[in-house]
Amino acid sequence: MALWRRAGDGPPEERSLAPHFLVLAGLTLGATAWVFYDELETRRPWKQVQRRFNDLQAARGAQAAPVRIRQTTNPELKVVDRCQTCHLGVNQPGLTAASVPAEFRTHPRRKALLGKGHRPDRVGCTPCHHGQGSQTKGIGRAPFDHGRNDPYWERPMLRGAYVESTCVTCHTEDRDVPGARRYNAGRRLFAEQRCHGCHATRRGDPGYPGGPSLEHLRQKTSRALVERWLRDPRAMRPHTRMPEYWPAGGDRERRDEEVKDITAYLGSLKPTVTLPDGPAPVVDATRARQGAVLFDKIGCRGCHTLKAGEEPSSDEALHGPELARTGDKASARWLDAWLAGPRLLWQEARMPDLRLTDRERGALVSLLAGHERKLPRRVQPWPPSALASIQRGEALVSRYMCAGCHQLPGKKAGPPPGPSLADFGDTPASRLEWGDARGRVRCGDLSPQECWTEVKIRQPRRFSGARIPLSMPDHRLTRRQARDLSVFVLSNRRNLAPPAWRRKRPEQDRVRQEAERHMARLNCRTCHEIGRAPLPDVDEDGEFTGLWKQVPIGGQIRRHYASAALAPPTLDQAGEKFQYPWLFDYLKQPTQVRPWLTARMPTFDDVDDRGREVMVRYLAQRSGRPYPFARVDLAPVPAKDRDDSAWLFTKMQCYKCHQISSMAGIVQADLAPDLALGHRRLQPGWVARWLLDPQALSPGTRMPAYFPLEDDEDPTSHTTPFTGRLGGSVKRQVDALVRLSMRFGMDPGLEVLARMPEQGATKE
Amino acid sequence: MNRNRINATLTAVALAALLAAPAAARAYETIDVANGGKITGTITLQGKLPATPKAKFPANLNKQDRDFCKKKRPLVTDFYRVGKGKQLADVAVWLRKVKKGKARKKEMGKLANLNCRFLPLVQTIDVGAKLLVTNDDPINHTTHPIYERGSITAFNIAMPKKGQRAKKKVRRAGLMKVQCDAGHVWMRAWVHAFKHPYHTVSGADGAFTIDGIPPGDYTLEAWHEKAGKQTRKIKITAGGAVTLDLTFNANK
Repeated sequence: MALWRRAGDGPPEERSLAPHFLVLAGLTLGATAWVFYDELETRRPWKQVQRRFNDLQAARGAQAAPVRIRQTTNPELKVVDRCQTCHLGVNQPGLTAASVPAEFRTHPRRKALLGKGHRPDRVGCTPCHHGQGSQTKGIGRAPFDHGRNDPYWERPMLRGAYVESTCVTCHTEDRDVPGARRYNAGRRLFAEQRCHGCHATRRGDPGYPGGPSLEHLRQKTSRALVERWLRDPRAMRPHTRMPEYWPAGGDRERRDEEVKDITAYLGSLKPTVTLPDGPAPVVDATRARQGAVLFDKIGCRGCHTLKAGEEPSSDEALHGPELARTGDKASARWLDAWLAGPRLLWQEARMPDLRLTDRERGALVSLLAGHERKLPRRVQPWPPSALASIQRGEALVSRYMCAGCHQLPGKKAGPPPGPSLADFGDTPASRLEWGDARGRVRCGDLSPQECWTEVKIRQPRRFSGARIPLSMPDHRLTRRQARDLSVFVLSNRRNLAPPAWRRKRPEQDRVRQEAERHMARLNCRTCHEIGRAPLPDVDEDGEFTGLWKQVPIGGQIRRHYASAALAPPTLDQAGEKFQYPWLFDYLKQPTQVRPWLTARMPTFDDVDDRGREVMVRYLAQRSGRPYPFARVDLAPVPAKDRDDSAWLFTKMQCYKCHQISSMAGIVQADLAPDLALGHRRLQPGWVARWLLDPQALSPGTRMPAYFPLEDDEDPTSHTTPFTGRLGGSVKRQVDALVRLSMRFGMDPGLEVLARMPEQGATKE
Repeated sequence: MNRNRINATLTAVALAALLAAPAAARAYETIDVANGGKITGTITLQGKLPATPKAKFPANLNKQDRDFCKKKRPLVTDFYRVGKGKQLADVAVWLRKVKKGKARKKEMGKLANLNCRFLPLVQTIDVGAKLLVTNDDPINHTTHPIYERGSITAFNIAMPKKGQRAKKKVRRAGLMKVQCDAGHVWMRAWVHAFKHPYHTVSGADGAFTIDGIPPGDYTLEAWHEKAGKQTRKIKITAGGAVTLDLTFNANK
């Protein structure tokens, strides 16, 4: 009790030591506590990390960062992040060397991302990377693992390609997210593989039609072929998108039973549109030979390959089916009806109208109907089937969701029949159905959701069990494709960013994305170059010549033509070349501009006016031109120069290759486009550039350079061979020719020129 | 798919750039050839000359050109210019991929548009030399050489005026076929461009000579537009002369 007595209360010998002892004990206790506290505090994992970071900074002579927690909060995005407490270098340039520990490195796409809408000090890290943002140490005694080992945290941190699955939280309007290659590839794959035929999503890209209509199977082909096809589609067409419903290793007997029943059902279907009556088309060798020439020349090779085992020249050449063994596959009567009007037989057909004449159609039917026939023609291609088999077949067709891709009579379009994937990204791990494979699937460091999805895509029947009959087919995707697709599928989540945080898609991006979508669907690039990339020029010995050539993107069909001038034209400068109203009309109803071309621009019914407009607009945008087109009314050639320009036109002998249909007297060659189209078709500025250097605008063109360069090294040193007229000035002469050529078909006064050729260009 | 292709293209660019880097080191090297070897020979044609096919003017040719060209009878479709002893002219002869040797003269080549045909029919030229193109006809000709490999246009110039001339530099090695795009589809000429000076064309007597060759093993190639290409391995010794007579077959 003495210790608590006030000073001066007790005897002096009692008073003297007690306070000192008290203070000393307090100090010792405090110091010990402090030492322990300080030791614990400095041992906190994040502090150790920060000290290591400061050592690194000191080593490279950079400023040290104060040791403290760095927390980003954003109530709108519901973010509380402490990630940057350790990831101190994420928004600092220069920490990219391999020697820098991974946790301190600069964000790999800092320049592209962190400066713009993704400032880490405003939005933190978890909106994109997910994970438990406020955690700075491991759970219990486990080491820190970004919360991935926390079974109660439902948004595990994403790694690698899966980070791209969160872009759509804010990029709600973007079809393709800029820079998100894996996500974009997955989204495209989802559409190409026609996954949306069976599964609903938040942002699929419908518009890719699936397999062909099954309405006319009886008229089109034989029962034996359908059975063969169903059993193993890839044996007939290695690049087909038809998936396998009876993956290898399954029950063969059951497969054969099911194939038989499905074929019986398909053979019993009554088509809604009947094939035209009349005699069957003639098939003979002469026509087949003509057909083969036509097939090579008219443009079929843009989307199809012909021979079995033929390597496609590009991805674009697989746009339509491979035509190997069509002799087994399709009857002449069906082929005839198909070529006459694909969309009559199948509303979703992508095949455009090539405006074939009856003779051309006959030739192609002859070619294809006998092409690579191996199966014997049966007397009775469709033997009758038992009713029970047909009924079993109908049940199977419904179970396997054939209507998800194929047009079947009597099946109306409805919501996709398979499980919806609209919220799939939110599925907790506990709700995934692993079937008999539970606990037996390993995927490295993928989260359970990621693992399940990738395995399901690659091995669709893996998670089956006694209770769960699975019907998803095998699309035969590669590991990489499966991951891309999985990234897209898992990106379908319920929670989006609040509207203020969503990215407003600029109009330019909308136009580009829409137009590229149409152009991919119509396969424009198989024939036309749109866009270029530089490539060094190498000579015969593989040595660099010092020249760089601009390699076009697209135009793969060119390799089937003898020279560039005979192949479909480039659209690379379409935006500065054409007048947009003309281009729009041309896309709607193509007319002949280049009579010498054997390739024919098809009429595309598969796109509407809005689609055409957006494509024209995109071409304008690529060239940096305003849209809509502002028409420039060029003044006619001044009266004083009129005779000189007419003289020049005659001397240059333009009419020898260009016909001018609006004028009597000049309808001669068809080596170059009709000049009377010019005033509606072309932009004057482009015509001037074209006159000066045609090769630069369209490499390989037959149009020669009329104003050759004085000095080969100087691309502006144009000279004129006609020094006596218009002051011998290249500029004035080009200007006069442009004005003249843009008035053909408009200005009747120009008919005076019609006499010029007969005057003879021999005398000057 | 498109994006994939763009990536593929960019990868190709990077690869090609890597390949291109050491290219400068592999260029032709001029050395002093004091006692060089020499190859001479005569080229003869074997077999029966094929009948000259009857040529027609294309339907879309304008009247003026048709009238002029008809007068000059340019529609030569026979492919063999043969002397009395069946010596074959217009055969290009060269050594393959010579990396060093005598200095290149870079002599100017000539290509004339004369009487609705190109002259000469076959010529060889050094890379870096100029090609003088002329037009001596009163009608418009275009001169459009295209590299056979890769179908790359070297240039394409119009010559609407009689007596017009233009000089164009040859920048790339390889065989070019020259065509006239002004509807004169029969016109043709061949220009072989080389990075070394060991090339020539057989004359009207079928003879050819290549000299100043440093000793070593070489591959000689001889090319005729119709009779095809022949290849011979030869060994050149210092100051030695090799005689190599070649025979082409017209009926193969």
